[in-house]
Amino acid sequence: MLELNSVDAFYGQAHILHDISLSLATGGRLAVLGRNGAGKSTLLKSIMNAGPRVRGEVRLEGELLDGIGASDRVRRGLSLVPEDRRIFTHISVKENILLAQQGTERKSGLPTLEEVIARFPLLRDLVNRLGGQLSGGQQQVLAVARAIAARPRLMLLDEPTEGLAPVIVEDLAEKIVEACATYGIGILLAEQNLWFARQCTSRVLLLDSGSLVFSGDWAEFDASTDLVERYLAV
Amino acid sequence: MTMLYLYSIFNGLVLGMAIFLVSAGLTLAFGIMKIFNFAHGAFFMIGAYVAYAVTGQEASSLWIFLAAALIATIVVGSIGVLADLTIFRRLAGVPADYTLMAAFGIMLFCTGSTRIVFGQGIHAIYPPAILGGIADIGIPISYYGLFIIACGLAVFLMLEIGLNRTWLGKQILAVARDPWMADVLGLRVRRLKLISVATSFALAGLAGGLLVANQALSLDLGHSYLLLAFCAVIVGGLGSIRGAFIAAIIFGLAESLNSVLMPTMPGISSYALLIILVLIRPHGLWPEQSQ
Repeated sequence: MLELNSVDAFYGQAHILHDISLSLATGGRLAVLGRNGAGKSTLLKSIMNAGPRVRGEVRLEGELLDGIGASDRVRRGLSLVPEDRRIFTHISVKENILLAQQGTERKSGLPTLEEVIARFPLLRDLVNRLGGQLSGGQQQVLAVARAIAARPRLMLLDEPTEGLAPVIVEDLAEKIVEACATYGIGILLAEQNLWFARQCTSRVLLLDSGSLVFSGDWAEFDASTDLVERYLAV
Repeated sequence: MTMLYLYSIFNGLVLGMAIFLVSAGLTLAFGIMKIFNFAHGAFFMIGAYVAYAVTGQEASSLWIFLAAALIATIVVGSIGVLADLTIFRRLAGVPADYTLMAAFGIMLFCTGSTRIVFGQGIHAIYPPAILGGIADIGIPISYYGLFIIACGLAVFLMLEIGLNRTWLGKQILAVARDPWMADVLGLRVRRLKLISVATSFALAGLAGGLLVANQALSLDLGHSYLLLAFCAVIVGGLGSIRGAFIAAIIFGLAESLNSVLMPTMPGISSYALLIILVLIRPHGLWPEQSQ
């Protein structure tokens, strides 16, 4: 479904990603690990065309996405949950979700608001509350619910556990896996929380200084005993 | 003496609403496009000339007067769309001083074009007869003044409801507050910005069409309101419709009372207020939220 061939990404003159290639099948779930500054967020934004200047091929369902803007990539089936949530604070929880659904411009096949809320019960009593009145954890759940409501082919999650209480992290992992299985949504998860990444994905990429240093499944990752110490330890 | 103050307060409210009518489009342009459109006064002036072209020196009826204001709204809104497509949009992402220079250039172009079409003369314009009278309720209240107050309130309510209660308005505010996220959610950011720009310029045209009466219509018309409109936008909080509304009334009252209390120092209270309010509330009386 998603294919990257020799992708480089730049912010101005700064060369952030170096020759990244990866592929992800329909409904596949892939974790991108790495320290702060390794290039995880840049990778997700490059796939979304939402910031960095990108060189190389990004393909979705075989279509080359070269020159296609972020909003058009949404309509092709990508959805990004950014690291800083970026909930619209002036509209309600319900309207945040409806706004994401409107962005897809799909006439059918989207989950109803009730279905989305049922999957994320934390939002049940907050439906009419403004985004700006939610706690950080509630905003994070809403950011994920908003992305799932758009029923993308592939959801790009950028460190969704950052700043969340452990109990919310556990619940969020369960909800994401359930929802993605139900709607056939693939996951590309940039994360530093190994437990959460394991729960949500089946394969792992490891980035270090913008370069790919490991690619495999979790068993292979665990078998390479020095990876965590070399590339993830602080 | 009390009557003099009451009369002055009424005139202040009329002036305040007139300032708001001009500043509404200005603050909307800043809120959505993040540009200080120095050409706004020129577009206001074009709106007044368009209305004058329709009605002549005096509109034969209120309906003709309102129709002329509507035509001014549409014409100036269309010119604004053209200005956005050809100039402002191309300047997105470049330093703000380039946009300021572009707006200044547009202002000169508008003034020059209007001079070619309408000449340099000064025209005395009168409201339609139905708005030309005066009611005496102890103080003389002009019907045209009441009409301007009603128009100011109507535009304020229209913008408040349009932006905060309608789905389109909520999308426009989403784009204004976080264009990156709006884009990443799939919203048609360019289209929504274009609607906002058209509305902003159309408001300048509407203000010109409504305020043209009882004015000496000349190429300098924009300057007379633009300074106070900028004051209202800054003091109200950049991009805030509510802030501009409140600040416009404050400046209108200050200007009017100034002429009674300190007739030898016209306008001094507005400048003093501007300094004091910016020092006390640097983000404005009703600052617009951003993400």
